[in-house]
Amino acid sequence: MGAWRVLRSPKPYSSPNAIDEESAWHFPGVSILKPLRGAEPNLFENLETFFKIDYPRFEIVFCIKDVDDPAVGVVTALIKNYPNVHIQMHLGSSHNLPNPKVDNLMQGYENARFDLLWISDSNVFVEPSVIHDLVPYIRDESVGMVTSSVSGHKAKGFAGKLEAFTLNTFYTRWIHIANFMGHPTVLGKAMMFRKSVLDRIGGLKALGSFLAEDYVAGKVIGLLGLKVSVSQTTAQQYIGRCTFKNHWKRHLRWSTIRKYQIPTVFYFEPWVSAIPSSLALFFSLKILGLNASSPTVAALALFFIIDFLIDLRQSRKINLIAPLLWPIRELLYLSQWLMVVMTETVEWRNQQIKVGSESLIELPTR
Amino acid sequence: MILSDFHIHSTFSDGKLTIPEIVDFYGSRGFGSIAVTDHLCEQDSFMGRAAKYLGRSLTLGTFPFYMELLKSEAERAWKTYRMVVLPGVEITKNSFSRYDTTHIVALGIQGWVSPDLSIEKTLEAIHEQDALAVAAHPLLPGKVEKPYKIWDLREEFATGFDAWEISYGSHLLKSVSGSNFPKLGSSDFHKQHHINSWKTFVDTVREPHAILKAIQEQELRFQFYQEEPVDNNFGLSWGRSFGPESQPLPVGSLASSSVT
Repeated sequence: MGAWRVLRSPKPYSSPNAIDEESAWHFPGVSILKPLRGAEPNLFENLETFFKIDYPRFEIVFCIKDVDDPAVGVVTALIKNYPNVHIQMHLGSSHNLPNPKVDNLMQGYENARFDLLWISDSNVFVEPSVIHDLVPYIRDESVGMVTSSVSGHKAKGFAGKLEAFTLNTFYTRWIHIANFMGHPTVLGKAMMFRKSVLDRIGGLKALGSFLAEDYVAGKVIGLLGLKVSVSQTTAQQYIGRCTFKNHWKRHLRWSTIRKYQIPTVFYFEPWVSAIPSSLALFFSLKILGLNASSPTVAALALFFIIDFLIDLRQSRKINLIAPLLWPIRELLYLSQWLMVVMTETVEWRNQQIKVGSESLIELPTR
Repeated sequence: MILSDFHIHSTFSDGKLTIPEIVDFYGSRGFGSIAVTDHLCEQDSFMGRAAKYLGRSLTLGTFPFYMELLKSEAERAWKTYRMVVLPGVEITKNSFSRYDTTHIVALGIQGWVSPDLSIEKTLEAIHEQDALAVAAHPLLPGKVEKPYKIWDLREEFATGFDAWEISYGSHLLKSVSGSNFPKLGSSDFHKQHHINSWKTFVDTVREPHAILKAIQEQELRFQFYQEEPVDNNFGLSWGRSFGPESQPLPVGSLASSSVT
């Protein structure tokens, strides 16, 4: 399919050379890459928050694979409402990469005006100050990529609330534990990096053979000798309604990917989860002939309190049904973990895909 | 003569320095050519899988990034230091039995070389890419050098290997250096102090193909490279020196050299 491109620059940026050095250092230009597919719930409202970003030098680069995609209409409406925002819209794709998100982003990546790129998923919404919050991290020359933990918001229905709670607690803990164990872990919902850095290892295209392009990006940044920073600002994800089936399938897929990403961390996971570690404590104390019940209940309570506080920090509100969500999430996690130990494939866009080393989808060209 | 090191590991396998750090480390010391040769362990064997899980091996996943980074760093190394960077791997066939363990350095590769082939097929696959196959540290040093299987089979593989490493770390392998086989002096560099080891001087121009050809034709001299710790105002750094026992030696006289 032929690709076409809409470029709208109401007030053309002056060349970076024309900007004085101090301003360029404080406000490096940022190209926000937005891969879109379909008119997802709350898409207009999510995208609108990006048009309201308060930062002197940025552009939004929309990447949409199909010309007939309803997301095109949503973006067009926003462009009319916000004529002063610099926009690029790329339609179509010609790279045929196995990872559809990377494939969709390629034209935007190649045509971005600025060296500093921020890939942000379609279901994320932001505060106006978001770029001001992220840029200081990447200004540190030892940092190659900035990522954010995900916080789930505006969840509806029980499965939606379970989804938000899982993102806010389990995945927030996981990203910090993986980074602590020396595995730079990036979440693709929000990743900021310099194009010139990624180009040293083959650019975005080189990530197109991986299911977990975000994790691989973090890994290769580490191989360049650069750090991955996790920002204090979270990637706020709109959850809305969600079915239990979708919740289950999504986390089964993510668990499988985690197993292939960092097996050492994956097999270590249960020991930082409530039920297995509390059971281990219970039986250890029993074997030693000590009172096991009270310490086990205390351990479970401690796990719950930690998760409750993490959820509070991520969602910025008290979750009154957390005592109900927490044991369900723990049991679901354990079931998924046990299933994934025996699994080599993931269901992705109605296809069973065999996952290889580091979440490789297809072998690279030899 | 180009001061060279053709056996270096980075953080892509079990080295301590990243590839950009390696380029700066060697470039700032005046080396004219280096080869980064990270471990490429068997993908299917137990030992290979363990290395992969522990991040001690290149994999199908990381290999394309490795090659891209070597390409971009080779450009930077040339612009900054006039240093040639050759892409390479160390095909690593580890075994529970020390004797059966075989490591083969492939120099100047263009793409993936399967580590799961037999030794004969591996050598063929390397040569198909117009790369060179070097037998890595074929003996274990000591008062009595202990051979690996590959050294005991050296006559069988005589035509398959383009060179045999004369050293294991800082130790000279007298069996190799005293033999009539083509030779190469390399450090098997994993961390900074491994710079104190045997090196090769190549008698050719600074161009990848010319360097590979010079290795094949053995237009080489070997020398022990020693740096001494130097205390300065900024802490401990390394200064370069060549000890009297490590004068440049032509290939033929290596056997009579003494190394401490």
